[in-house]
Amino acid sequence: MSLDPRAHGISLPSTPSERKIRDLSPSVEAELRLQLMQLRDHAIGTTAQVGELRARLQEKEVELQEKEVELQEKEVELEKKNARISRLRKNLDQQEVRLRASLTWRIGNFFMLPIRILRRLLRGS
Amino acid sequence: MTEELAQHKSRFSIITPVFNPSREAFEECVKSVLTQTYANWQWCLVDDHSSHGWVQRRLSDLQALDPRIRVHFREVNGGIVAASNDALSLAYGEFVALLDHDDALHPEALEKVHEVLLESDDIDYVYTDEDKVGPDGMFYDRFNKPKWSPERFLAQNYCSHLSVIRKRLVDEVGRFRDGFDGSQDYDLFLRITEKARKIAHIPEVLYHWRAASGSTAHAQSEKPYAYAAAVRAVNAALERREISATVSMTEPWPYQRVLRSLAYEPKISIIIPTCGTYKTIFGVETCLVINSVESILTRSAYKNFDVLVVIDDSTPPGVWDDLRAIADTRLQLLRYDKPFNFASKCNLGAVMSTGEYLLMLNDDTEITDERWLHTLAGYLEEQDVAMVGPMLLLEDGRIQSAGHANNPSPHNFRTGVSANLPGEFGVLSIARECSGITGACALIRKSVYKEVGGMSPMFPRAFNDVDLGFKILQAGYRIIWTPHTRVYHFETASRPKGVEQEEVELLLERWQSKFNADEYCRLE
Repeated sequence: MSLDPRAHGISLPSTPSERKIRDLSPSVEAELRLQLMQLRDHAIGTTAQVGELRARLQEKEVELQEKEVELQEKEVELEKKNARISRLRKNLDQQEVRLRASLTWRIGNFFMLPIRILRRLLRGS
Repeated sequence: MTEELAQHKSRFSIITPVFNPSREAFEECVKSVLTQTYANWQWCLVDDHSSHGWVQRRLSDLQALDPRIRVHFREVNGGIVAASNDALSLAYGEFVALLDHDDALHPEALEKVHEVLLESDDIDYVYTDEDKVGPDGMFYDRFNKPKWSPERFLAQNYCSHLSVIRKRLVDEVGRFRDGFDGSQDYDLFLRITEKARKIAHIPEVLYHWRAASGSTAHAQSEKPYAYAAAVRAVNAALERREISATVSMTEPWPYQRVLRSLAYEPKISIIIPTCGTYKTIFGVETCLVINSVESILTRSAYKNFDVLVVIDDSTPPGVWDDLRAIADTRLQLLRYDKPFNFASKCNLGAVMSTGEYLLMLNDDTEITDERWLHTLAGYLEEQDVAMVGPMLLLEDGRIQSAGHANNPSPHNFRTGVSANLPGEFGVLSIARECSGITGACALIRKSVYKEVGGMSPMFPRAFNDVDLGFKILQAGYRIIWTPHTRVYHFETASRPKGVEQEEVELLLERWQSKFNADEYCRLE
């Protein structure tokens, strides 16, 4: 399609000598061409926006995956720590049992008995 | 693909002609090859009849040391072209990597190139970033190169080091040629890039160029014959490509200026949106649009153009009359009676124009170079170039815009810098691809302008040119900025000042991933 405005009914001077300068006003067809251009821009712009959103979505997905991996690692770490705590607690309990069963503990306990009785009486009064 | 096949595909032959190198630098070079993290290489060394006795002994030792090293001793000195071709004759690798006898590879250079080559079977040429290494062993002058830029490559051999080329292609184009000594690699790359299916750039420094006295790394004036050879190489390339152009040096800078001759003068419609603003220019109160139109009509040597002035209703009636008074038949006035929208005004001019090319021009510009349209239109002779812009100057002669750059966000490159400086790696003195140019003066193929929907009216004040640049690049075209013609741009008089928040947000919504990711301008 010709882009010459004269081809679309826009009045122009017939010869340059009639008028040195041409004042144009947009025809209906020119307006339609403008709208078409605008629609193209809109389509390209929207495609670009979708592309950007996709890229951001992908970024977020990668971020999420990384966080999930991080979380899993933390959970494994936590489990390990909990298991260690249980082991330590068990060891402690066993140590306590052994301690209470030891001769040193029982002798100490025997000698400390009057003091404990005295303390209980004082607390009662 | 099996591991074995993958390894076979990426076997490298390192090509090194040797002639009387500094011993210390050569040992650094040797060390850099022997410590490569990728082991599947072959090193082809050719001694070009060195007069330093240690060279032959050391090369023989190296050959005995590692079966991957092959050495050839020339009986007469033949120069770098002959020695390089002899080294190519020793090569059995699928790719050749060029290494000078006193330079050094990054330890992971070949591994990184290998990784890139595995991405596609079509890659025929790979180049990387580089820096220089001084006598004190310190690295400097890091060159963050652009992605493959054919126009820039005609102006300077920016790919240079490290270059890795498919051996089959090197043989096909006829290896290094006599008559291009000092720029023999440039001549080879020009021929290679004409045939290469894919060219890849690794944006990492993988090569250290020794700045020795007498080398071009040390001072660009060290080898004047090399620059004459570069001009010959570019002339030969243009002849092969059947491009009619003149090539000259950008004195005093050692780059090439390529100015294409036009087969014919395509019609250019110059579109100037205006509201008839006045401003003091060079000390005189001036109606900008009158000044701009007058400068175009009186100073342009180009014949086939018309000027379409898109005038706001608010324009003083006197301006209309003055325009009519200075005008000839090449001028058209187009009334714009809607609320201000710079993009819409340009689009209106575009649909009403009859030119094959459109030149978007702000009214606060002044033409001084009579060949400005010839120079700009020359770049559009390349069919994949859609838009081209000149160096824009402020009133005081400093640069207003040397194209757009997107790091960290879109802006005019090197605003306020002297127009007489070459810029980093010649960036201000060579025509080159860029990510956009300012709409203050942009010559664009009309078919492409229509294809991408023109300037977006959704950017009524600012960023319409940035958006247009991104749309053009996305459509697969190139945009060129050139310093070889200059236009005054007195700035901010064609439209109201300020940026709307909506425009910033829309630009981010459309193109945020392009921010801080400019592949053509990585200097910032």
